[in-house]
Amino acid sequence: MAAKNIIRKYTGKPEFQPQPGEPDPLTGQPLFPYLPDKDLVEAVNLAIFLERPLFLRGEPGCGKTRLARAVAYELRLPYQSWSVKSTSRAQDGLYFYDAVRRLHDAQIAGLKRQGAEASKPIEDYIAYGPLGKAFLNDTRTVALIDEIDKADIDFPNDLLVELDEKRFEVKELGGKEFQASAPPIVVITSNDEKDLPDAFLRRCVFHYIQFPDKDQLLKILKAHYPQSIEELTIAVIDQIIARFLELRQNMETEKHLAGKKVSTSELLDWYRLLWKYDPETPISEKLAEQLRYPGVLVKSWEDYQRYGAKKV
Amino acid sequence: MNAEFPLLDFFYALHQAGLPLGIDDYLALLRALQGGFGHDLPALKRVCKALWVSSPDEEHLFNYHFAQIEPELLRRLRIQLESQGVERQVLEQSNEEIPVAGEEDEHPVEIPEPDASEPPLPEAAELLHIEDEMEAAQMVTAIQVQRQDIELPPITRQFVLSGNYFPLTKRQMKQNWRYLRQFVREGVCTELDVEATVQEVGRQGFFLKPILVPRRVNRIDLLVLLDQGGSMAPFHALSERLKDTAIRGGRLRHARVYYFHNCPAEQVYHQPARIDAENLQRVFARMRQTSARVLIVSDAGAARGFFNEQRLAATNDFLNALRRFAVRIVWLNPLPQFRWIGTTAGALEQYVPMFEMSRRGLDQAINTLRRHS
Repeated sequence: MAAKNIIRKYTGKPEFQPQPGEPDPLTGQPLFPYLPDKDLVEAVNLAIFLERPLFLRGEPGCGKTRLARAVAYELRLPYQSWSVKSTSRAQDGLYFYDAVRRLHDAQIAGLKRQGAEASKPIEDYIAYGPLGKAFLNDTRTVALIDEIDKADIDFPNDLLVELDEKRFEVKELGGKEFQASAPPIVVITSNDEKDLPDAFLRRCVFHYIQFPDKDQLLKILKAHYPQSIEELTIAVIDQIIARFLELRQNMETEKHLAGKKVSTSELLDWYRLLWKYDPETPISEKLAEQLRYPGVLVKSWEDYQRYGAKKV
Repeated sequence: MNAEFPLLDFFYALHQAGLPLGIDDYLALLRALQGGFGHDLPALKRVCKALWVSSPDEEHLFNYHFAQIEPELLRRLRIQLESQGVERQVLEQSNEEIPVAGEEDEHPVEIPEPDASEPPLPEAAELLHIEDEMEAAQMVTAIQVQRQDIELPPITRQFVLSGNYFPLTKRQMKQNWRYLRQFVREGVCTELDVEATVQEVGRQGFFLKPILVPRRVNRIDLLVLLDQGGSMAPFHALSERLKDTAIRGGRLRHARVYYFHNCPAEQVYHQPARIDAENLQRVFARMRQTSARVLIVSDAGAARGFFNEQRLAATNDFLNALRRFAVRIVWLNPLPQFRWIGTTAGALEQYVPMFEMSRRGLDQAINTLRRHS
């Protein structure tokens, strides 16, 4: 059974990326290329090799959530995603026992006086959550636990045994245990809003996603909007990037580590607006004066007054 | 240093510095090395960081201790890794598969025993062209034998606050803060109350709909007042740590921090440098709406060791004013208890529960804060 445990390495190279606009077979949404830097690729491969979860931190908008989908796409593995909410419990990711519906059905059966034949077996009322499905899968699945710090502090602690030993038990089936035959590749993202318990962090491989540099940004823009390369000259694209980096630099000096700075996803939106919206006005004119379409880049009133209202 | 277990001393140093590491973290490093990660020194540093470092504080400690490793050790390690790296490159070009750790016997990370005959000390350029592992081993042991005294690294002027210096570690503080809770059910009804539902079913005879209750939330509103400057200067780092853990790790509903000097007069400050002032009356007014618990961190004159009547009177007035708005007031003193006798702090102890900043003291302080009025 060694064959199903051996997988290729994740490389993030352009030949393995989806074409922009290619629909996701699972959701139908368009897929975009994901260009990681080599430290991130190394961290992913380390996590895959050691069979430990990969813990990603970084600014909002730097691409933490989309890494898992990109890894699943390149390695052609199944993908499960779990977006954690503040009301989430650890058990919900593994399985969900619909007690209310069962009671309801039992009531209806009782009213109709149909007896035991009408009552369905308990397995019908147990639905497996994303992590549970990943454990039950025969091939290694990429499982994403998104924004784990949104939940209660007990939440990561409740997942310790499951992540360590790759098994979980279902109380309602009499304590039946399910052991993962192919250990899933777990990617956990965090927005750094709350501190997580040490016992949980210890089991993970860490990586902090840095903001990409100028060349990397250019590659990302080219990969997302390849037609724009034909329509706009490299000089214009360089201007756009330079303007963006200037804005980010100003925000960094003034806000340091606190406060939200412009991120990669905002650049992508802004770039698209500059390119496609109002095509009659040349881009150089749009860049010459104040920050055009500031609502895409700056998201608070103070930021808008400081950076958006007049030329930086 | 044992060649079979690279960086073991470094691992111990990190563990003693306070990083929460266990033996299987080191074993994970060995497995990663066997799997081909960490093929050169920067990559090795990245692998160690990915496995062991989980926060910016720890990263600072990690970098500091990594810089402390003797350069000779690093050089030997680099040779060792690069000689293996060449072999691994040949393997990698043939197939890009990663075997699952522990399935195959990978090349162990060790140098074979030295030979009796020693080759002459090689030039630095020669070291980079090593093809054969045996050759590398012989060269390394040649260096080992001929270099009798290893120079110590220069003393660096860098100060790093490691966790073991303070009477309370950050982790202990976080754990203590979690006890400061008073759960109350409020908000939107989202949770199922099974007992009430079952009772309702029993009353009605059949099941209509589930009974929902709101989730429990922590009702505690904490106000922290930190004394800054003067005799409290040596304790600034401790206060900052306390404030940090209270806000980030405590799961309190509200945690507000203000700074003052010696005794809060009409104003308290938002910043440690005592700028950005706020009127004390406004702070009180906000406290009245949410039944606030107040924690004051100050030495109360115990650091200098004098008894100051004016300070005692002023502090008492402040406490009396505070008592009208706060449900509980607790005083934390960074000096140990035996230092309070004969000072303003000793006199103040009669008016307000005062605790020292040890694990037990913080425990008791939080217990007192938590009690219902």
